[in-house]
Amino acid sequence: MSAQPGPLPRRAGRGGVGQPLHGLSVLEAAALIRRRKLSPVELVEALLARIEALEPTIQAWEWVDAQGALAAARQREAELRRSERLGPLHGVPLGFKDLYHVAGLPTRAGFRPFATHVARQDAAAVARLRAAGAIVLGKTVTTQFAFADPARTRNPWNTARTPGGSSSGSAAAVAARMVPAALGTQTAGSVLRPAAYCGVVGLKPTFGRVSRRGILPLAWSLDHVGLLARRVDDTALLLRVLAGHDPEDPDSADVPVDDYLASASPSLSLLLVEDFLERAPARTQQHVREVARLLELAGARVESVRLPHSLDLLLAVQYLLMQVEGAAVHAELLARYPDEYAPVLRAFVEVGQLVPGVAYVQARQLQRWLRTEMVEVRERWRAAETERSSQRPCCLLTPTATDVAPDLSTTGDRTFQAPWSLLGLPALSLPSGLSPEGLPLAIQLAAAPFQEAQLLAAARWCEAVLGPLPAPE
Amino acid sequence: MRLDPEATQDELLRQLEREAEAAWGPARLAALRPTLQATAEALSTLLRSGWRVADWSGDAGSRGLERGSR
Repeated sequence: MSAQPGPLPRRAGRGGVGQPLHGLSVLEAAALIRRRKLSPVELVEALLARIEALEPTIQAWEWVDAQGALAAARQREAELRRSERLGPLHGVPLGFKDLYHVAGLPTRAGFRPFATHVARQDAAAVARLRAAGAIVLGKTVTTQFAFADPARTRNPWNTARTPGGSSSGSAAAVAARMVPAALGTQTAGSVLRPAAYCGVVGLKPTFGRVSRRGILPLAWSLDHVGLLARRVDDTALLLRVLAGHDPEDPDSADVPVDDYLASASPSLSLLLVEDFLERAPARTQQHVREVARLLELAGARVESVRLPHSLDLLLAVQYLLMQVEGAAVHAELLARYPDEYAPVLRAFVEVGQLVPGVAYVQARQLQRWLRTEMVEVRERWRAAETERSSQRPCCLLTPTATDVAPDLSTTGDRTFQAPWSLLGLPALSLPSGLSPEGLPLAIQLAAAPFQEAQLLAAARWCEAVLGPLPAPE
Repeated sequence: MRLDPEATQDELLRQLEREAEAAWGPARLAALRPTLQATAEALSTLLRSGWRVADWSGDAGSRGLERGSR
């Protein structure tokens, strides 16, 4: 890249694509910065202004690191002037759920005794993104310890509705154009569901695909890093940076990383999971069937399938694992600070300590078995597709959530997202329209383990057919 | 708590309630009840799923899990 000395241009709050800077996607912002059409300082300033305007209403942020972000942006700008080698996220600001350790910032996890805990080191995911040039804009609100007690965050589409949880702040901040992308975590449905409720893209990669080192746990056999952004390609770029083996995370998988941005497909095969649809209210069923029909008209092959086992069993196994592991994680802290725990989490941990070890071990064994069976369903279909000489990506298709975002008394229903956390399969929530009351609707795609390239290719294809959602007013 | 494979969901709930009262005191029972019910339901689903961890009659035991006839 050639040297371009002198100050970078100032653009009066608008990007080179004719839209306000706060509306830029990750890829757009990265491209403009790389071409020196946009200053990282200007972008951070625009996002800080956006946060200042909307935060009193949305309450998505636990900690906005304005000084740190501006200092990092000035450094990125200086690196641009020196034409140093640039990472793929050079100058792009990101948000991090307040379970991720970010060096020098508190990790509070919605828990008052942690109010003054300052992290000494970045979580592995934060470190990877920083090394790729990203800027930490701040920490986003989480429900307490990523469980089910609602946080203070409001849904940008309707502030009387939940943004979902537990990655409440990450989803709301991305939807409200306060930040182009943010990281969350998922143990049951904490990335996919907030993504659906807030009308953004949510990606939960395969278990073990992204290191969890430096993130406060809820349940070790279920916890995943998750990504929230407004475009499928933004999640693909972030995943390309985040994916890879970390020997310091015992569950990290040593599996080659694909180029998630390169994968494209002329069409795809979708397996519509009837068991999910039968559990959804009529209007959700109708919406997903209409979307499936639209995708079919655009060239996708769509067929109905049934799960090899009951959805109730998947949910029971996921619940017991989360409960017993959560009880183990929190036993000591609960004994010290029982009254600081939010009520639903406290009850969950207290009862979790009573579940027999035999039941936990059975649930762990079932988790492995159910995953094998689910993968076999998809692989049988994949084999049939190969016989048809088709190279189309093949994904399961379901609604992401049972319905639109409910009121603020809950973070929503985990029924349709928790199976993918239990099975460790990669899954993505894609906005698919608006309900009559103007709330986002979403479809969910799931693929085989470590087939994120196929998943993202399928999602990109669906995104092109369905088109983007407008921004919330 | 001993997990009785033949226990009904109601029996599991009563067993959990007794354990909870002993562990956390009677004053906590009302706050714990929704979670106790959800836990009893999950345990019951697990027990009734038709899966058993080992099948001693054949080689499935070596795989650690087999669909049973319960």
